[in-house]
Amino acid sequence: MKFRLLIGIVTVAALSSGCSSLGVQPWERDLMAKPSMQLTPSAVDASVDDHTYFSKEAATGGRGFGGGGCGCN
Amino acid sequence: MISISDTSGVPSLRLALAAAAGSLLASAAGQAQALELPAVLASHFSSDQPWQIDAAGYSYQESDGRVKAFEPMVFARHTDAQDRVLSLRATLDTLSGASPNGAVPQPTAQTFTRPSGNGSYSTEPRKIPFDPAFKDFRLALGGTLDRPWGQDRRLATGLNASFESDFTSFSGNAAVSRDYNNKNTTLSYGGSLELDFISPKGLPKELQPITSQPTGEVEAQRRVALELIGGITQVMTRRWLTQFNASLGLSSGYHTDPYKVVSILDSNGTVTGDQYVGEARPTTRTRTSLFWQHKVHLNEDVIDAAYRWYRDSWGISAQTIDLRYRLETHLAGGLYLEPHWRGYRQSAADFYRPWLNSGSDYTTGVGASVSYASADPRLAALSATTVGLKLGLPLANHRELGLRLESYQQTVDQPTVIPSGIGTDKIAPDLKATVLVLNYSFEY
Repeated sequence: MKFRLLIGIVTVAALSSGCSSLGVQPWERDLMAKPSMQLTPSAVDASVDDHTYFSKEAATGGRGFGGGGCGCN
Repeated sequence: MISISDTSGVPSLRLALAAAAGSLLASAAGQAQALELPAVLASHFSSDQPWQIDAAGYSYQESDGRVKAFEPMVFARHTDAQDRVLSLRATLDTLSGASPNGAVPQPTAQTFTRPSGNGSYSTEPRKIPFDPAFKDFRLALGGTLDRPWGQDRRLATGLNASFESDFTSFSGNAAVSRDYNNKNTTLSYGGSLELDFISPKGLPKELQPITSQPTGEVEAQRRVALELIGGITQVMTRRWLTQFNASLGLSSGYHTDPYKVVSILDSNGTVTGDQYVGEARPTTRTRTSLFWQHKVHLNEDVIDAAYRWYRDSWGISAQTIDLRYRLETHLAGGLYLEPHWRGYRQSAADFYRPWLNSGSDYTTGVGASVSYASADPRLAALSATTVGLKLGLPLANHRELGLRLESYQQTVDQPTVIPSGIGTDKIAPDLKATVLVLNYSFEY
C-alpha cells in the first residue's frame, strides 16, 4: 500500500511539473476552441454510446458519470 | 481505503457508502443553497441569449427479431451572462423483442414458465432459448449546472432520474475542475451517488427452481452505487489535447438479473431434476477504470482516439479502443464525414456458469453448492466491434443536421467443452445490431 501511494505521489508530481512546460499561449487557442476539438463534441452521440454499451457489455464508465441508470444491466 | 469482499465486507461497505453518501449529500445541499437555484434558473429562462437544442431520434435494432429500441431525445443547453451553463435532457425509450434467458439449448423443445405465473413460452430443439416478450418503456430526465466557482475553478452539479415499469433510478453528482498553467492544465475530481429500485414482475428466488417462484406483489429490491472520478486534461500543443481519467465505482445491494435462469444438466448435457434455477450475483461490486483520450487537429481534420482499461471485483477485465476521424469535405457548405471504429474485449465473471452440473453444483431437493451463478452472456468472455459513419451538415444560423449509421457485432466465447447431449456447439448467442441516429441542432 505504501509503495502504491509513493508511486502515485511521484506520478502526480511528475505530471504536474511536466505539464507546466506544455501548452500554448492564449492567442494560440484557435484550434482548441473549435467544437470538433471538444473532448465530447456531441452530447447526443455520447449518450447513445453509453446506453448501447451499458446494456450489452459488462464494463462501463471511464469518460465521466453515467446518467440516470437503466434496468437493462 | 475501503475494503470490500462479496459477503463479509457488506456491512463495512454499506457503512462506507452511507458515510460517503451523507458527505456528498451534505456537500450538495450546501452547494444548492449557495447556488440560489431559483435565481439561476430565472437567469437562464429570462435571458435573451438563445438556447442550443439537440433533437435526436435513436433507433437500435438487433438481427433475428431480437431487441429493438427507439428513443426520441432532447438536449438543451444555455449559457447566461455569468458564464453559468445549464444543460437539460429528456429521453423516452421503448424497447421490445426477444432476450436470451440464460438457459442452454436442448435436442428437444423446452418450455419456460415466467415468474408470478405470467404465462410461458417454448423454445425449439437445438435453439438458444429467448424470452420473446421482452418489453419496456423508459423515461429518463437529467440536468446539470456548470458554473464558475472562484478563480480558475468551476463546479458542476447534476441530477438524473430514470423510470421504467420495473426499475427506478435517481442519481446526483458534483464535480470540481481547476485550471493551472495558463489554462493549459485542468485537474478535475468529483463523485456521484445513485439509488436504484428494482421491482420485477415476480421475483425469482436465487439458485432455486423457477417453478417454485412467489406470485403476486414482491418487495422492491435496492441498490446503491457510488462513483468517484479524478482526471487531468492537458493542452499538449496547439493541435493536441489529451485527457486522463481514473474512476472507482462501489455498489451494494441487488445486482441479480431477475429474468435470467441457469440450466441444471446431467453428465450427458440433458436438463434434469429442477431443470432451471434463478441466477444469483454478489451483492457488492467494485469497478475501477482508467481512460485516456487524445484529440489531434491535423490541417483540417480531427482524430479522436480513446483507450479504456477496466477491472471489477467480479473478475471481469476489459479493454476498449475507440477511434473517430472527422473528415472535412468542403462539400455542400461544410459537410463532414466521421468514420468510427470501436473494439472491445472482456473476460468472463468468476461466477459465469453457462450451466450447473447436477450433483456437484446443484442437487435437486438439496440446493446449490455454489454461492453465485449466472449464465447471462453479458458476463461471458466476449469481443465486440463497432463500425460506423456519421454525416454532419452545418446549416445557416448555427443549425446542423447529423445522420449516424453503425453496426455493432458481439461474439461470445463458447465453452471449450460442451456435453454432446446439448445437441449443438453454440450455447451462448452472438449479437448483431444496427444503430441509426438522426440529429438536428438549432438555436431557440
